Amino acid sequence: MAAVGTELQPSRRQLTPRRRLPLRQRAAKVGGPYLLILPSVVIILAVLAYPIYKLFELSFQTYQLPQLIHESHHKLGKAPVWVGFANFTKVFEDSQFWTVLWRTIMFTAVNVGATMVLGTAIGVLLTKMSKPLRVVLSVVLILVWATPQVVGITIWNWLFDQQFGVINYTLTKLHLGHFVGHDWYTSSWQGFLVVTCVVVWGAIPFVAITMQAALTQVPDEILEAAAVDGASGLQAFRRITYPMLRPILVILTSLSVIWDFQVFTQIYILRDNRPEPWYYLMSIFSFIESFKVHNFGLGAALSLITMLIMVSVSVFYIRQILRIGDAK
Amino acid sequence: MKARYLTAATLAAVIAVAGCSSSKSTGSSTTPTASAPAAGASTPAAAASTPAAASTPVAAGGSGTLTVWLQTDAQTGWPKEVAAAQTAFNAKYPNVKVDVQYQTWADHLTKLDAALAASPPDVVELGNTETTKYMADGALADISADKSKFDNSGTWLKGLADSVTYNGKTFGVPYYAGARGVIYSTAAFTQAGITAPPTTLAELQADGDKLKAVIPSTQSALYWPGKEWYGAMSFVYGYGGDIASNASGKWVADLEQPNAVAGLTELKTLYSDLSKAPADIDESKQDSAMAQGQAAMIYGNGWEEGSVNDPKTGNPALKIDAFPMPGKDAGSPLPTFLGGSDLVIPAASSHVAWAEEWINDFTGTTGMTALVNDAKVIPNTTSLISLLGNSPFAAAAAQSWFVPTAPNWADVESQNVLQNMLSSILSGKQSIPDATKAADSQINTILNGS
Repeated sequence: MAAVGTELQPSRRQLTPRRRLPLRQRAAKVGGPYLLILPSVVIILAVLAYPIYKLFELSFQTYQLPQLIHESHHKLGKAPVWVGFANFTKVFEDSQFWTVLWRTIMFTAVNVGATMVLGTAIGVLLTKMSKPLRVVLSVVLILVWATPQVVGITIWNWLFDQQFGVINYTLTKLHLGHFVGHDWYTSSWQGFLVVTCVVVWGAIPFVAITMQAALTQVPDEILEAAAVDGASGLQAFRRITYPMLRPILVILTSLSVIWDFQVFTQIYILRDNRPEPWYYLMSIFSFIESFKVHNFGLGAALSLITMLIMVSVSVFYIRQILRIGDAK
Repeated sequence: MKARYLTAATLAAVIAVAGCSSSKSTGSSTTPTASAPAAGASTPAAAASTPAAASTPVAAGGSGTLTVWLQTDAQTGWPKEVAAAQTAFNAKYPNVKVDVQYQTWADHLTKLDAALAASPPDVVELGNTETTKYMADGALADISADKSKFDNSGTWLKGLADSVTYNGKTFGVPYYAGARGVIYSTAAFTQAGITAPPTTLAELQADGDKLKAVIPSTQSALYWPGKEWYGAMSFVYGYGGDIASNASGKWVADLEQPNAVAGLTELKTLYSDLSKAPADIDESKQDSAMAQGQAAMIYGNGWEEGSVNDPKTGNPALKIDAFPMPGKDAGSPLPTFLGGSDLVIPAASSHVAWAEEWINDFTGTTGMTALVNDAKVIPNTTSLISLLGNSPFAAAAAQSWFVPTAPNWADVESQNVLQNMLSSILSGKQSIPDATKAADSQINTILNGS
């Protein structure tokens, strides 16, 4: 991408006309791009801006069942009350919040780490294997990617089923312990192991295929030259391949952090729509506070805090994107 | 460089949010979307079924749509009675379309909340432990003035009538109740040489031990899913304890008290000795577990006898019978949870008159008689209990307990406080004193919260 950008720039500069354009063309030039971007702006405003505005509003209000009823039937219920930062104070004073936040951070670290290591390894493997094998592995990765999330999770749930699960059966047959009737969710460590399997399994294809694509961009000539100069495989990877892959790695890692920090569906379905408190991550905690406890104000505050954390992570991602765009 | 960071931060906000919404929307096909709560549109049922704007509540005639939310129990268990109510109703209101929509217990309250914020259904089935919060918060129509119009309103079952009464006003109509009993395989009992049902918990355990000797190793003598909190609380009440009590306006949870702990200790003994069911599943599939040969006994609702023997989903060949769960001493069986459902009318409904009429067609003497004869549920009125004959479930219902009538009780249930406590206790994750203490402090916070 970078290479293409540098090639095009001089010629574009030559083509830029110095003289003033006729009025009509100028108007088209100014208005055209805005007209083109208008549909997406309208959609973003409708599906993102308004809900976020509501989220902000809710987080500064006491908003429970009576307020919900009041929403479109003004004779019923009670109007929302503005409470300033009371919801946030309550969240920060709640020890459960800190437990859940810490758990979410640890969960994200483990999952992103595993995704990146395994994804990169498979990506490297893809570039090294023979063509037929590569096709087979790529097809498998695409199939994993194409599996609808809910279907995938349900299949994993069956694999780890306490009574009929093939994992328990296999582990027992392999004499790795007595796993007949073993319940993977009793211990939250084992439970999160299952969740991690599901999340990492679903995330690997994107990372692996992107890494493979990135690796093919590393010119063979440079690697050959390095080999001629006596560089070992590890040295070549550290000094040549890694710096060239760095932008992609930054993007993949920050995207994975964003995705894994918000994991919801996997746990919600694995725990049968009723996750126990020791399976709460930030997204589930906020969902339960809002929709199960009817404390929408508090739930909104939790969502907002999660969002702010995500924004700070995304800075790395965007900076990298802009750097690539600059292509100096 | 600085400008680049600034741009990055701004764009980052957009990306984070976009990432957020995309990651969640993927699961929306089965899970409720976790977007802004105000988005009431996440309930397709409610949005689609808005009654025709032109229709107005008129006593007779009129046209429009009456939207009714029933639980799926009616869809699978007694569709004939639902159809009969519709026929009776349409004889009086030929131009009113009755739109019955079936909901599941797992997420019906979330859907109801969203509907209440937009256009609610006209009749809603609520579990009798779920009503208090909605009555207290003004979500339901006060039908006290029309109470006498409903059949048998003078003899409504107390456990249900109490659950639709708040501050002396009536906010709903009892629908049906269920009591639990021990459902057992008669063949297994014969094989183990058990001739009469146990009369004490000690006898129950002894019989269970006899069963263990003859049943397959994958079968539980007493299949007890760990999160079966209705059954577990029967042990608490049976040993003289309770979940929470109200002392001068303040709720105090009592699960860590000696009587409650004694009940839970007995439950844990039975569970460890007789059950192979996981500690972290609920009771929703215990009937199919029995049908599949995983249980010699289950502690189930009366209608579960039918589902164990169901020709399609169960095992019609399995011969079963039932007896009331015995207590500590002979002659005083363990009190059963009187579970049940009520039908309520949201305060925002514009068809209260139609709704009342339909409810009476469904739960009045005619409808209820058919329902009891067909589905063997406990009727909403004491005047019809005799229809059940000498059923062990009807006998069990004589001794019952009910959840604390605190406005916030539904939150204890929706946060699964008791289920999680039981799962901790029975899996051995926490000791009984630790788990009950933790649950008590959670319950105190919820029940006394604003």
